[in-house]
Amino acid sequence: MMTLPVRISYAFIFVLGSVYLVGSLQLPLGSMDMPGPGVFPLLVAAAMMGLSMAALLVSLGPAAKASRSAEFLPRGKERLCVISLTVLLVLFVLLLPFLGYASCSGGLMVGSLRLLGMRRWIRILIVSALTAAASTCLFSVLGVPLPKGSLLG
Amino acid sequence: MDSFQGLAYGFGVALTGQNLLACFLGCLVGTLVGVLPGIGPMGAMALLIPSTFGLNPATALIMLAGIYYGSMYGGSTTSILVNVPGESASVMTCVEGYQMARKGRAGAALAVAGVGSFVAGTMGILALMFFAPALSRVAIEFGPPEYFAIALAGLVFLSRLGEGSALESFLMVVLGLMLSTVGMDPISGLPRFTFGQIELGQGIEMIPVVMGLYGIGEVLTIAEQVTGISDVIKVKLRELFPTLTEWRRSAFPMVRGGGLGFLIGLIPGPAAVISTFAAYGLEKRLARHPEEFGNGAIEGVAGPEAANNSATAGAMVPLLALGVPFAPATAVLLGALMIHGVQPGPLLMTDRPDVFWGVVASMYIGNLMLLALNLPLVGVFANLLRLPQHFLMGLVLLLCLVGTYSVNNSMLDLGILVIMGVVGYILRKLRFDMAPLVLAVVLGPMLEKSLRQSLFLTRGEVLPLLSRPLTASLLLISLAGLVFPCLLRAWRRGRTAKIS
Repeated sequence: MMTLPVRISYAFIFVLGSVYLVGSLQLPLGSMDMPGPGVFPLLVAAAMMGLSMAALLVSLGPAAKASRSAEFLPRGKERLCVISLTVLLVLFVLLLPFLGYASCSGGLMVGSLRLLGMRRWIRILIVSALTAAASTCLFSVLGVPLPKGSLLG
Repeated sequence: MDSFQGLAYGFGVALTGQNLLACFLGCLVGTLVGVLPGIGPMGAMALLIPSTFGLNPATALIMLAGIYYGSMYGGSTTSILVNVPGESASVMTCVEGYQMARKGRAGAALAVAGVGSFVAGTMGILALMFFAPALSRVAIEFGPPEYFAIALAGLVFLSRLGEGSALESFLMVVLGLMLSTVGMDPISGLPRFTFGQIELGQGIEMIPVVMGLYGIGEVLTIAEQVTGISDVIKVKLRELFPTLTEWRRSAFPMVRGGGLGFLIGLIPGPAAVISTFAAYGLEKRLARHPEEFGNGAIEGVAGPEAANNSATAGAMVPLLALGVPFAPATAVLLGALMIHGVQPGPLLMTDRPDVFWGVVASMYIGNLMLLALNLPLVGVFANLLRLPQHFLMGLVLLLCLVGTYSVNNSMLDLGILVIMGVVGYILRKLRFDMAPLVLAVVLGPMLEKSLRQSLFLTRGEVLPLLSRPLTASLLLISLAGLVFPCLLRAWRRGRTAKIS
């Protein structure tokens, strides 16, 4: 059996295609000899809707093969780990303009090392501090501009 | 300038101190990327693009191309010693290479893989040297209809040759095309789908998309798996000499793999991966002792390893001659060139011979460097697998974030990176092939612009497009690529039903 998440993904693409279609219809379409900015998105939206509907129908039909495992998202600790890492990345992006690269990269390393399996806090803190310091120096040498953070001046 | 003069000029460019260092760094990073599972050549190239901002375009491309072909060398090391393909193009090497290692012939397998990669890589570069200028000369005559047909054929073939089902691959293509329409309209300049964000007017950059899908997505996937430290088979330097019989058995597979790999590299799709499967199949069919396949046949190492290296040179042909990437990794190279203000295409060879011939010549030098790097240092690279994975993955996260931010100093790009990371994780879980999405993001603007220009040229008529021989042939091939497999499947199904 095709798993439910796959069907949901097809349905999601269909909905996304419908929204995109509405958006492209609001752009000038022009004429056949002078196609406007809306023509290509309109064609893509139509293809999105058509293909996702076809995929959904195939997945519901008898020809659907047992090609995927039943489990989509991990359970328990593993699921928590994936969600926490994502939250950590979002926090990095949100806090970077305020706290700057050095603090944020240190924080990201502490969080990710802990989440990805490093156990001893002392080691986590040392590795994170060293990585943050080394990467800040390296990127400065390479001339890569890094935000210093508005809160830390 | 003809090919030999061009190559001589290219050596003049590639042999400067800065370019030699760039080539060495590219090859070293490529080998490391090939050895370590997790971050592939695309992610590594995207990561290093910001560090090339201070370099001239030729130096930048020499380094990035070094990562691309260097990763093919590194991938074989872990496939043979640990049975872990560091790179997807090394999967077939695991089959025979690891069996050879278990029989105590790891050194021979590594040497044959290294020499095979070198021989085929050199063959591929030689072919590139003659093919690309010839194609460039023809491509100068190309107009928007030809470019539209080439881009369309590229997307259709990539979707047909990818890992997932055709329907899913096409879904990925349209998702990529949708992303490519965000930003300013390439012809009228009207903002589209920007939601009032001025920054989005520049469009969705390829770097956050690639790093998100392949870098962050991979880390999130690995985060849910319990990993241990790999058991690495040890190899001594004196064991790196294959016997005379092993050399004899490997010679023709190397040459065949080199030729096959280059030809597959010219076709749109993940050339390096496909070429290894094709070369393995060919060697198995031609082998005098096919029963040895699966138990450590050296032809099964030599052929695929030669093929994946040669395929990287083949994949450079459409990029350098037409400015059209047919593989996801060359799409990243195209992105890098454009960031450096260089427009690849038929005029690259005349407008920027330093870039064109410099890269071709550096590939010769890079192949030599890789041979020297990979054989004596094989133990060192294999031991990299003992590095704790949590540290490596934390570092990958950090590099993805900094790499993306530094391209435009844009917080919006970071947001797109994280979103694409989550999308990449979900697509992996659903087992969707992400390569068509990336290629569609890159080819989308070209496809749209050339379609609209073509319709403008023909005053809205479709038939005049078909009067152009190349356009008509490519559109027919694309149509055949779409329809033929479906017909074949239906015929097979009908035949099976009849028999049963």
